[in-house]
Amino acid sequence: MFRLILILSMTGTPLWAAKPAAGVQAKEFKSFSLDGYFSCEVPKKWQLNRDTEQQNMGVFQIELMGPQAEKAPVTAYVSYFSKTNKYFTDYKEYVVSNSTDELGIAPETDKYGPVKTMALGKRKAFAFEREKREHLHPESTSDESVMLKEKFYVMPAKEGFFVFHFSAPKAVFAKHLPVFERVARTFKGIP
Amino acid sequence: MGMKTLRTVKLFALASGVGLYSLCALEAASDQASLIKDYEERINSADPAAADRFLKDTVFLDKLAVYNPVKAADLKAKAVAVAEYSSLLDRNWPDSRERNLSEAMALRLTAQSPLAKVGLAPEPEKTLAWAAKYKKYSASKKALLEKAARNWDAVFKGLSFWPRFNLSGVMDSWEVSGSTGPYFMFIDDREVVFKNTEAEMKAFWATMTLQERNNYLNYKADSRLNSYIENSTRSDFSKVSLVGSTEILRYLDGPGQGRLQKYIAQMNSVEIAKTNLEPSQLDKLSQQPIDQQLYLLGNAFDKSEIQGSAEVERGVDKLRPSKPGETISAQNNWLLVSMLGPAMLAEVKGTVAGEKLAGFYASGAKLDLAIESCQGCYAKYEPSSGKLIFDSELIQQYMRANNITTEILVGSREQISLLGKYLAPMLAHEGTHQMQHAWADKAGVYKPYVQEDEVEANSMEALYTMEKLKTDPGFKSMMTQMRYSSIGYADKRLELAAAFSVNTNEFNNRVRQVYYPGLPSFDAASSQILSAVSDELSRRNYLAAADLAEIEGTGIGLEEALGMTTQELSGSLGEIKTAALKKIQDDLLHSNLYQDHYRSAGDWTGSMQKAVKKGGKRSKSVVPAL
Repeated sequence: MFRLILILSMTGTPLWAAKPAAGVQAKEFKSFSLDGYFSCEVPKKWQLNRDTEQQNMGVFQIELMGPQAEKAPVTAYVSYFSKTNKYFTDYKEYVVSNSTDELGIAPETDKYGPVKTMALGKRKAFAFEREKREHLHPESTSDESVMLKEKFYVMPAKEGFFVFHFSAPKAVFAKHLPVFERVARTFKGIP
Repeated sequence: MGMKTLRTVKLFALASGVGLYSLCALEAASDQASLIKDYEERINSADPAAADRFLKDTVFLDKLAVYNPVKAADLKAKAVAVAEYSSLLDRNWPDSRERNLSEAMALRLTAQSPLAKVGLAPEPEKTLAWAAKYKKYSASKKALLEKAARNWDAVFKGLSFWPRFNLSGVMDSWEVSGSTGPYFMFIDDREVVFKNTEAEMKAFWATMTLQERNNYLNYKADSRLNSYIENSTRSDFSKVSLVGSTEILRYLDGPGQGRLQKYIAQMNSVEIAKTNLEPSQLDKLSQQPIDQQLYLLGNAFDKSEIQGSAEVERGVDKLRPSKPGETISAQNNWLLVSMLGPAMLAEVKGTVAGEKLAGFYASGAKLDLAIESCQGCYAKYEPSSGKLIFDSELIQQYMRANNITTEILVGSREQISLLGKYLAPMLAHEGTHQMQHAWADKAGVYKPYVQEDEVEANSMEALYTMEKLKTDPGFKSMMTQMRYSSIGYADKRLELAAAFSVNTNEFNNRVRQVYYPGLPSFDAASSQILSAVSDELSRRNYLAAADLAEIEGTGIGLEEALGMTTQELSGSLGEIKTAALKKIQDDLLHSNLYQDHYRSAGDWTGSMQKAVKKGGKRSKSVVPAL
């Protein structure tokens, strides 16, 4: 019942939403809701995929694929990791894994920014960025690679946590970041 | 309402369990018949929205499957193919991945594909007309599609055709070139594309499939690259720029691109090393092809005749040809193979992915290794021979980087163990492909090669590497050091493990969209095969008894057919015995069997990732208090 009430309340821009990100127009977005776990605005021109495979692993997520960029796609994920998800014990583990070179193997080109706390709407969250090089053909001898820049927001919930993950070739990161910011700032999720 | 339609409606009403003579039922059935007709018309014209709607209308699909299973299967195969192709093109393909898009399109635009039945194949230009009708692509996306379709005007845009004559005054080729820069290509009179006029060539080009166009352009590009590699002696910046900007080289296939990148890296390496040379040493290099220059530079470094940094020497060793002692003779190859298999199995034991592999081989599966050229890959499992092939150049590169000869390698258990350690991530990957085929053999089903296979194999490899990095300091040290001495191999193993470790929930999509965008998903591959098999079975209803008897007598049997790739199967449908075709059709119609297998594999690697992470040391927390 609670989830139903939550779904019903997930319409329009939330009152508490931060100012829309600069450089993007509200008319370029539409409302989206994922099975009562969360809602947010998503860019109309980006391709939205629901990753149902991950539901078996306790992760409820959407993938947004942006305009074409150099070598690798611009992508944004909004994910709810349930308490029983099979990857991370809690939000702290997720933050540690993604904000540090946990395996101790990163090349000099990779960079990890500091983890900061911030408010996303009325909820507290962590924010951090990283840069990493990624090869495009792991199985072939082709050495083609791309430098990616990524931004994360991680928001604890009562029985799990939310992740907003934006990834783009470094050269176009700033150009598409406002779209991701609007998705994050129009977000409403289960407590 | 004609008699035929009325009969259809009545039958549908009967199949739906509705009273035949009830007016309401008749109206409902009439609606259904009209819906079938509408779907049929729109799907047969490749309408992507109708295909999507049809596939989501599961209640209607189920009813249709009862009422008319043949029509249901036919429409479903077409709808799946249209929806999948539409989704493939909708993806945000960057310009730099034009070749991947073209290869993905070529796989689908065949004469046997269900896309051919809805008017979208095999001619690539049909895609452009279809996109104009059903899609609202931007101008840049349309331009990308034209280039990926290898449309004549897109490939030869801005280029002129100049006739060239032999000494007897007979025209023997066309030089295709722009107003500036080097020529684009020569079209030789021995090639099928060659015609007497540009218009004739363009008309012929229009009849070629996308696969044929790509093959031809790759052939021309490969010839140009060979000419550079074999004849050019320069390594200066302007030469590197010239090679990098040679337009035809854009059309190289994957292995060709790998060779091009290696050649450019070789030129750069020579140019850097040359700064350490005396004039007399430079003289010895002049007039030599680039790989020979690298060979001589490697010798000079070994004899300390050059005083360069270790980094420069490493760069040369990584890229130079092998010396006689570093090549693998047939006898040493045999020895190496016999020792490497057990060494790798010993290496992977103790890890979760490794134990799964070891269990597989202990249960009777054969680890049949081979060391030979992998043609642009590090390793591959070859289902037809059951061999797991490791790239000979990768192993020779390892020997050069570690300053060991083949004799030293095969004469030392320790050295073999170290090589096994280095190659073991690929055993996890390719061994998974072998397990996939063993699963299909055991289940007695046909298995196409699909994206889901690579998701599983990449996950297994990454899981293995991740665990070794956490538990084996020797492995970690070796891989991080070899990152700078191998062309991508070690670096890529590390990257894959890191990506899987931290964003496992996004890993599947990464594998599908970034690493293997051209490979069909299971749904796409099975719909393509089902459609082609159904067509062939229908054709046999009208075959002369003698022709049919010949197929049944001397045709390809089930065992051989099950071992075929999707392309081999599609190309041999007319020669496969009817019972084998019906078996493959039945296999693919039961898609749950495959989907359960892939789901179970994904669940396992996902769960194991968490277990492996928990088993290792946790980093000191960097998470501030909220």
